[in-house]
Amino acid sequence: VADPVTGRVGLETSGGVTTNGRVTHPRFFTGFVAGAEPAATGLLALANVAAARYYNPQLRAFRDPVVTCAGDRLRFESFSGCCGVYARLDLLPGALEGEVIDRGTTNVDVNGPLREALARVGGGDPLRLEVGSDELAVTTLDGQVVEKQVPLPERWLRGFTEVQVITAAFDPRAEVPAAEAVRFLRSLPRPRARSRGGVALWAVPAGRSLRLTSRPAPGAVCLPGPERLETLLPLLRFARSLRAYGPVVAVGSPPLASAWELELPGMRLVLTLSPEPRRGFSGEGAALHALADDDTAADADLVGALLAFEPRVEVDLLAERAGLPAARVRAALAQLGTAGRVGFDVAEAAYFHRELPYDPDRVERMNPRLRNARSLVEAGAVRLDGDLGTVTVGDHAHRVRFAPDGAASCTCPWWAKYRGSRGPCKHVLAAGIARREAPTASGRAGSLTGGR
Amino acid sequence: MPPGTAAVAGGRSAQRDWQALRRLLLLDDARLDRALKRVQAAQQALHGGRLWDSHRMARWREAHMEHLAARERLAGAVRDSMPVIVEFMRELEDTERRALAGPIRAYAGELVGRRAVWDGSPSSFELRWARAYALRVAGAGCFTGADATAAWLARRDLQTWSFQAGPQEQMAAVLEVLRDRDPEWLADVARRLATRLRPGSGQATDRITWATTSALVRRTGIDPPTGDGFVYGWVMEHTAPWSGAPQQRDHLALSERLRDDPYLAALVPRLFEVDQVGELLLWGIRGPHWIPAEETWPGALARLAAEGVLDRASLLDRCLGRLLRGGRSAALGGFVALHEALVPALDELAARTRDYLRLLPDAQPAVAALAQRALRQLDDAGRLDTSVVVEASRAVLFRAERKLVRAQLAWLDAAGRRRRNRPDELAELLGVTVVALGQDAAQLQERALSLIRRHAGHATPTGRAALLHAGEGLADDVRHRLAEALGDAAPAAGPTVEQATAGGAAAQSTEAEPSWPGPQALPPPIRTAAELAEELAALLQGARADRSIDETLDPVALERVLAALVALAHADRAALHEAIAPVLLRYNICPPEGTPRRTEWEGWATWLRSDDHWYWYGARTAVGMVAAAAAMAPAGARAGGGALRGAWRRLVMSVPKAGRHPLRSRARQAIVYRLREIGTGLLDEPVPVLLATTATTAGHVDPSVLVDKVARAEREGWQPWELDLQLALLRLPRQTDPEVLEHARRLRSPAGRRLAERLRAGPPPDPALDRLARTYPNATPSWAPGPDIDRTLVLAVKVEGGAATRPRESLTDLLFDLDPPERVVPGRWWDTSGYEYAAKLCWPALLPSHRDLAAAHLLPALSLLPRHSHSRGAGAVLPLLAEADGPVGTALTVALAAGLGAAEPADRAAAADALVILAGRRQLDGAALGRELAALVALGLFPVQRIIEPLRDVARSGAHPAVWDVIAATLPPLLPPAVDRAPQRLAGLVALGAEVATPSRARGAIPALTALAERGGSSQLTAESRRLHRILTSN
Repeated sequence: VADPVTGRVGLETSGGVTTNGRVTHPRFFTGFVAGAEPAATGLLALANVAAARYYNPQLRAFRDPVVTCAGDRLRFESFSGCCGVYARLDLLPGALEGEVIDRGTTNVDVNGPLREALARVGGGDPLRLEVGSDELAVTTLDGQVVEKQVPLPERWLRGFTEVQVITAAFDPRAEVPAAEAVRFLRSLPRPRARSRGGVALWAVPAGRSLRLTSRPAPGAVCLPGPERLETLLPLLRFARSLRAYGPVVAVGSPPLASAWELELPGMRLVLTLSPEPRRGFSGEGAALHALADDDTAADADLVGALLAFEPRVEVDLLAERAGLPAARVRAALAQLGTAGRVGFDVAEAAYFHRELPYDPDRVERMNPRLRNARSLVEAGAVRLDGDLGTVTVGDHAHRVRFAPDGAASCTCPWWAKYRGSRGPCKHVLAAGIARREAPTASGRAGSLTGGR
Repeated sequence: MPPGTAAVAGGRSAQRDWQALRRLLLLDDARLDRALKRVQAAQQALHGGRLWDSHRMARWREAHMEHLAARERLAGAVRDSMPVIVEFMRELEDTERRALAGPIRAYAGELVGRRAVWDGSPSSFELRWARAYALRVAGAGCFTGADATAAWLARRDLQTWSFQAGPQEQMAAVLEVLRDRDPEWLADVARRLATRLRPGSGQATDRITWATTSALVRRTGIDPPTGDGFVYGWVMEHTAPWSGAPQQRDHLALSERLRDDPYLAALVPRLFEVDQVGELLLWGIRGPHWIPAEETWPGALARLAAEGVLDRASLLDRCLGRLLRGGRSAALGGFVALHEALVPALDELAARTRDYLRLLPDAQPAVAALAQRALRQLDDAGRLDTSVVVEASRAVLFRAERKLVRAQLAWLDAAGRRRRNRPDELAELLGVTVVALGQDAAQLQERALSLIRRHAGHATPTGRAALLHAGEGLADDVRHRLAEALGDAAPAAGPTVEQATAGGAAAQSTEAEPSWPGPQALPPPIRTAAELAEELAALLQGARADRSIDETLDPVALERVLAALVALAHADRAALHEAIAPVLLRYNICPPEGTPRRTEWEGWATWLRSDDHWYWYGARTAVGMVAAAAAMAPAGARAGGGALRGAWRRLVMSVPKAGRHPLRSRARQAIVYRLREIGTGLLDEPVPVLLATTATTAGHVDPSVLVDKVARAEREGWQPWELDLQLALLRLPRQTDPEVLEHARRLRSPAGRRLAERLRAGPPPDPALDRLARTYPNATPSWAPGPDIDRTLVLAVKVEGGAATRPRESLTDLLFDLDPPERVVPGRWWDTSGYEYAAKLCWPALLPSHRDLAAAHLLPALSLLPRHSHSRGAGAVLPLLAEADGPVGTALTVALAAGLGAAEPADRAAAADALVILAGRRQLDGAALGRELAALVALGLFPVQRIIEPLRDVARSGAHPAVWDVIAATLPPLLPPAVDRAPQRLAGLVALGAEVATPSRARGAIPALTALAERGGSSQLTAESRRLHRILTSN
């Protein structure tokens, strides 16, 4: 049901799905945070990301981080209003002193009173968190502030899906000690009044620090819209090191996503930047191949039932419990990620479980490219000829080409613009679906998964 | 009798009601209409004719008077109709209202909807405004639902800001229409209207809505709405005067008005919660005009607090709460001003010590400064615990703002003096200074050290030892100076300066020397027609996102597609046609015959008739046409070849030779000639392979591959195309492998002999580029922004030796000739022709062995990098030039200097990349670059701090000596006595010099720097100079 004021769809987070099944008002965690000041500053940074828009900053932004209690740790996640920055604050076991009653996910607003209370937390002050399915209660010296659960924007749901697929391909690229991290982050270009979506910069490790360069090179990390790292500045006084993660970069790469982790005492803040400030994660389309593929759906159901809010999902353990090979478990996890039920933690290179509202019918509605592809197939617009497909739309045709390694490419303007860096176009998806449906003499020739 | 009363008197139907109302709303008056038409005609007649014609002026005055009279009539008509309309609406029954709602909405759409475009005459919009006003008032009575009424009243498009009626009058009319409605219902309307108000807009229309809401609230006596929009409107109402309203409240100051305001108590707490209000509160404080304090919001609130109307403690608490919540500095400015206006007493400050403390670490600089002042005031009065001072210092000394850090050090100094007789507290205070020592700025380090020197003797020995221990993480020289500052009380630890710097240098010099791995690898060639179709689509799509002058045309992608077109056309034209026809159709490029065309496109032959097509389409579309030529089946080539060749000829004929035209760019001209040759060649005498296809990103061809191709042509008996051969020869590297030379000697064809000759003799001589100083007349328009620097312009690069020595009509002739021969470095964009950026990325690949010449061609574009956003992205060409071959001369050096000072960070990073490559190839002349940088900074082309971060990045890559050379040459011309006053922020560059001097083992004093270092003083520049001087003379 769309909220008439915000236009948001009334999705609720897990709404009381816990390890013990469905409970009305479960409470996940109650206790103190050991490093109160960095935790409070980190939460404010997270709320700042949620309140910011890095592209078209004059528009309104949401501010509702998602909280997951995962056994030994708490994760707070949020997206910027433009969906181009994904921030996650992990409070690790060392920082938490309290009682984990249960595991689960909720999402709350960070309003003025909570911001004020968090800003008042100083070095020696206590900070007590109570995370429940329908609220987050923060107690400081000044009293208690309770934030109630709010609806989750649909765009965020898509963002969770995409970020998980995109970051799963990241590797650590650089680590910078605290003093150099301060210098590096303070020297980055400052945000301007109106974002102009400028050229992406790249960072390459140089000595103990990073240096900016204008061109991609192997080993570099893309730094698209460097002013978006500004959120990290208030946390620099607690920083222990800065790590950068990114996918494999080749000469001539288009702008890519990257993740920047600030290690704090007992916690860490990870900012994941979209390839360009004007591109939100929600529209990246990285999960479309997996969504179009029905193969792993059954595995995903099985694996999904075995997930129990683990802080990190051990693939081997899951494989043993599900009785599936590890590769199929990984594929199933990717599929679960497309529902937002699994996130990827680049710092630990591991999946983690969270519970988000998921409805298979909605997936179709949320992904217009997939919907269009299916209607192209239904309309019989796809003609296959070996490794070439022709998709006829109106008075013109586009050719889809399948390379021997399964990667597909197209001649449409959209593909010409992004060259596959923003997921497959509807023609590639349609040709892939038609190819999988069509029985060929040589059997199933090439899976579309991971096809770029 | 007014028409409305007739309707009321007679039998009524919905239809008749509407007819009557519509007549009223049209404000119909034949005489008025005629008057307006006369004005319109008079005004139109005034267009044309001589300026300042007295007759014309008289007519204009006449028309103007007539216009004013018509306006008066219109206002009169509005005034007369309004009571009738009001009366008419008030007497309606609910059912009648409902019946009118539909027609009146439709009429509103007709009046202000998209199709009702203003026809340009003042009378027409005045009439329309008058009608909209009447309509708005009437509509208020047409709806029975509260929400529908609120929606109608909040409609922005019906609200007018005109002479006919001020907002008060408009409001009164609306209220009059609503007078008899149920009070409960009216209260509902008021509340709903309040929710429709949005904060953040000072638009007149929103202000009318607010005024209407406010009037309804007062009428119904409900509690004031406290929504964001209502609060914002309230502040706006009291802040900016209504421009068109009678100034009836001018005699009252803001504080007087607020005191009697019924909303005061309810809305003041909300001031601190609505984000957009902060900026409004600053109104009158930062403006150009002084206004008395009680006229400003902070002043007025403070005064009301002093009088006891508002609760002072609560104001102060909320103000601090708002500051703690954070936000943009503009949004917080009003609250900083309020805090200042309240002038909190010591007791009030003391009660809020924790809040001020929490503002120090990461609040906006102005807010942190406020908190710092408050806490220092408390400490000066002896009311702060030492531990609080320590916590405050720890937070502030880490901050990036030097001003705050300096103020904190001054505070620490004063605090230390007060605690002389409490050694352990003093030791605590000293312990925190280690944070300031961690700052990079020498000035801050020096101040912290002198602070330690002054107070160390009074602190406890354990405190001194603890400080020395805490300093262990610091840089070597700072650590040593800390030990010195602590005096003999300090345990002898840490190496001496010499040992420290030598050790540091040894440690740093083990870092990787910069090395250049060679040009970046090219993507593999295109093998299949299907792949070519995708690349072609990407190329054609790129043209759509580009400006029309091929600004972002990538030579690598272009050459890949051209090579594949020629090769695949030779292999199988039918397959090629099959693959690329859909792409060409999609981008509206159709061969003349035999292929179905898209209906809206009448064929490219027509397109060729336009003289301006190059302006609109550019080289990438021409590539599409080459593709069309390549894809013509052999049969098609016979049938349509004549027409196509004719078309190509027309195309080339339309290429202008000079003047302000996109093809003014020589690079574009060379590319177009090449495309022409490939297009016609594919029709007339196809070859199997292109010679000039690049093998590196720098644009070179592989000599051995070229020799093989020419040998193949000899073997197979075909002639390479002339321009293709010329370009291939231009793209040969400067050095040739003897083995390749040996192979080339065996070539016998004319093309082969030319290749062998070029390989033997080396590249054609580079034209000598020399610098001229020139004085240009000041042609700066008076409205021009920015400093007036082109009065004594600037730099020119003159070509000596000339085109006369080379054969005419060759590609070399085209590209070696600078047109005009003096490359002026423009100070302003209007010194340029606008086509400097045409095909800018292609220059290195056209002259890969003559990069200084390529840089000279690009200089007009590159030298604008520091000044103008049009050149944004042009810096990308600098790394390509650095990868190319040839001497690094004046032109490239000036281009690099301009790139380091570019306005865009990405362009600066590109210049830094170029420096890294040149340093890695040992080709960087740091001293020459430094001199150019100093000259450009001295001219005021860019501020000196722009070059600091890119140079630091170059140093990080390991090229410390190169960066030191640059800085050593940049500094002397920018320091006294060469200039009266060193430029702003030069200290940052000196600091970078100190960073790189040690690892590059720089020695030897720089006289200007010595003078500055010995002069004394504590400015940033002298502090940094002292540090650098110390390093340079430490041997």
